[in-house]
This record gives sequence, structure tokens and C-alpha cells, in this order.
Amino acid sequence: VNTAAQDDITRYVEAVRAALADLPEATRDELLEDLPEHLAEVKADGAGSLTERLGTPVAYASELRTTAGFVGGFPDPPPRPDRWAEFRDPALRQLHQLDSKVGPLFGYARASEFLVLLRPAWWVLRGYLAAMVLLLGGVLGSIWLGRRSSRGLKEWPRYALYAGSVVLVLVAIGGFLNADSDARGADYSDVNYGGGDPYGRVQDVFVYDQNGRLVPGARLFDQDGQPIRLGIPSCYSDVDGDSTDAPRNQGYPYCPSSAPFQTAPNAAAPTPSESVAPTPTPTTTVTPSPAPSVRPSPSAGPSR
Amino acid sequence: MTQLLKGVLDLAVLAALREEDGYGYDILRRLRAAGLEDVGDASVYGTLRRLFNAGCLNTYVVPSVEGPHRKYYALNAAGRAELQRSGKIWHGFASTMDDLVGGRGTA
Repeated sequence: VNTAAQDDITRYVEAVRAALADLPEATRDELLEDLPEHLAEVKADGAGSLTERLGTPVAYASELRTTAGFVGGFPDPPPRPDRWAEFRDPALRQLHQLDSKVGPLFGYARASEFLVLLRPAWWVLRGYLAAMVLLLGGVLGSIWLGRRSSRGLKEWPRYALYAGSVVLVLVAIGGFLNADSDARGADYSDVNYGGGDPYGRVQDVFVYDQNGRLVPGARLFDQDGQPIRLGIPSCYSDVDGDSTDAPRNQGYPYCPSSAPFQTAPNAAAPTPSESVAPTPTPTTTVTPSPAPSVRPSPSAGPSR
Repeated sequence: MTQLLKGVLDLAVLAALREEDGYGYDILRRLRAAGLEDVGDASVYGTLRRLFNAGCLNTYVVPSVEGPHRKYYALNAAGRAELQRSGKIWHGFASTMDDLVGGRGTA
């Protein structure tokens, strides 16, 4: 048998073996153990390749399967599927895909590269979590110690316990004092409705000139020429409990009668018929007070 | 290979070994010489493997001068008993079929 014939036989046997790949390995090996020698006889008997003489290896394997049956007893049970691997492998694949997909959002090839940078934050968090576990352990230990010490300890451990407790109480008093002063000094203004807007509670705007006279119909603009809108364009009268809407284009104040500072009668209501006082009177009662009393003045402004 | 041949392949192989032991390809040649020209090489090889595993055949290896060694198959006692039993069934079945199908050439 020359080398070429041997190669043909080897190739054919391997192809048949591949076609029987679903059989248990031991069964297949047993079934095919004499096949090379058998095919050598076929080869020696005539010319032509084995495929020409016997048909395709797949057909040969199929014929072998139907005539030989499952030799060697029952086929081995199929290998038990690894349930954990079944669950884990697709999950790992998905995680890998997600890793490469999410990475570019942070400007990295993979999200894991970004997460590696966050490791120091994790170390801090880990320490915090460990401290919480220790806290729980301390609480439980203290309770245990408390229940046990009631049954009586020897002399020096009891004194050690007392001394430790005194130290802890002192530390706690210090902590409570700090917390108490922090609480007293807390600035509540920032929890007001309106957040950080200091003009959130402004209802009306009163403009006074340098002589302390109320300017009627004043308009406010910012640096871009945009009108500054403050307050509520509505006027509530304490006298009759009625409210009237003031048109936006009227200007400030909406309610001249509610002016916080009363001015001298000659300056308070600068009507067109009245001449402006030539000299500011020093008696003008423009006295800014930290807590202005908003009080309607019947003398100021047009009475209705 | 026809369905009919498949059913009697065991008996054919056992019968081919009744007079003389033989190796795989030798048995194939005997069956073809006897007139079973459609029998496939894989069928003979597979049937020999199955009969051997069923305990009907013994094997022995004979070194060959011109090629690889040859595995010879021989009927053992179980094989001869099986050949006799199957032969009886075949004769009964064949005569029944002859009667059913009718005399030769009249079908």
C-alpha cells in the first residue's frame, strides 16, 4: 500500500468519524477500529479513490449507522448541561458588548477603562461601608456587654468599663454641643420658597427720587433694555378689602397708596398742576428703617 | 441497498461464513459473487461489527504479506445457532411469499 493510498484511507476514515460525531466517543472508536484495514483491502482490490468506489464518507457513515446500530450497549447519556455556564456565558457576552457600547459615551474605548479611574472613590465608599458594619457590631457588642455586666464582673474589668463609658459620654456631650450650636445657627433663609431669588417676595416696587418723593409710573429696565418685572400687578386695598388689577404698562408702583415711606404733603403727590418744591426740605421724613411698616396713607396718592 | 436486503443482511453474512472464515472485504466479495450485487461495503462492515458485539462471531488476526493484517471472522456456537434459527424463519417466510406471489414466471 503506497503513501497516497494510505492518505486516501486516513482522510476517508476521518470523514466518516466526523459524520458520526454525535455518537459517544467510545462507541465510535469501537465501531471504526477495523475500518482502516478494511478499507485497505478495498483499495488493494481495484483502482480509483475510495469515494469513487464506496460513495461519500457521509453516505458510508449513514449506512454504517443503520446496520451496526449502537454497538457496545446503550449509548452514554449525553453530558449533563452545565446550567451555571448556560446562564453565565450569555451574560458575560452581553456585559462585554455593553462595555464596548457604553465606553464611547465617556470618551473611552470601554466603560471598564473609565470605571477603573473611579476606583479610589470606591475605596472611600468601601471604608465608609465597613465603618457602618463596625458601628452595628459596636452597638450589638455594647448591648451584649450591658446585659452581661449586670450579672457582675470582677473588680478591675468593671472599673475599665466605667472609665470607657465616661470617656464615651464626654465625647458624646462634645458632639451634642457642636450639633446643637450648628442647629441654632442654621440659616433658614435658603429653605424659603423661591430658592435663591432675593426678589421672590417682592410684591410692589416704589421708586423715590433724591428728594424723597415717590416717583409714579416708574419703569425698570435691565442692561439689555429688557423690562424688569417684579411683584404682582394687582392692588389690594385694606380699606374696602377689594383688589384691583393694575395694568402692566402703568409702571411702578402698582399701589401708590401702599408706599412704605410717607413724604411731605407738598412732595408726596406730584400732580402735574403742582409745582415741584424748589428746595428739598430737610424735614422730609425719609427714614429707612429695617422694618418698614406697610401702612396705607390716606394723604398720599390719589384716593379712590 | 434495498429494504428487503437490509432485513436479511444478518442471515446473509452468517451464511457466507458457514463454510469458511473470512475478513470483511472477503465476505463482501462472497455476497456479491452469490448475487447480492447491491450490498454496500459499509453494510457488511457494520453488520460484522454488530454480530461480533452480539456474540455470534469470533475474530482472529492473520498477518498479511502484501498489506496490513486481516481480521478474520468465524462463526462460534452462538453464531451457528443463530444461523439455524434465522435460516428456518427465512425458509418459512420464503415459501409463504412463494405461495402468496405465485409460481415463478406467472406473476
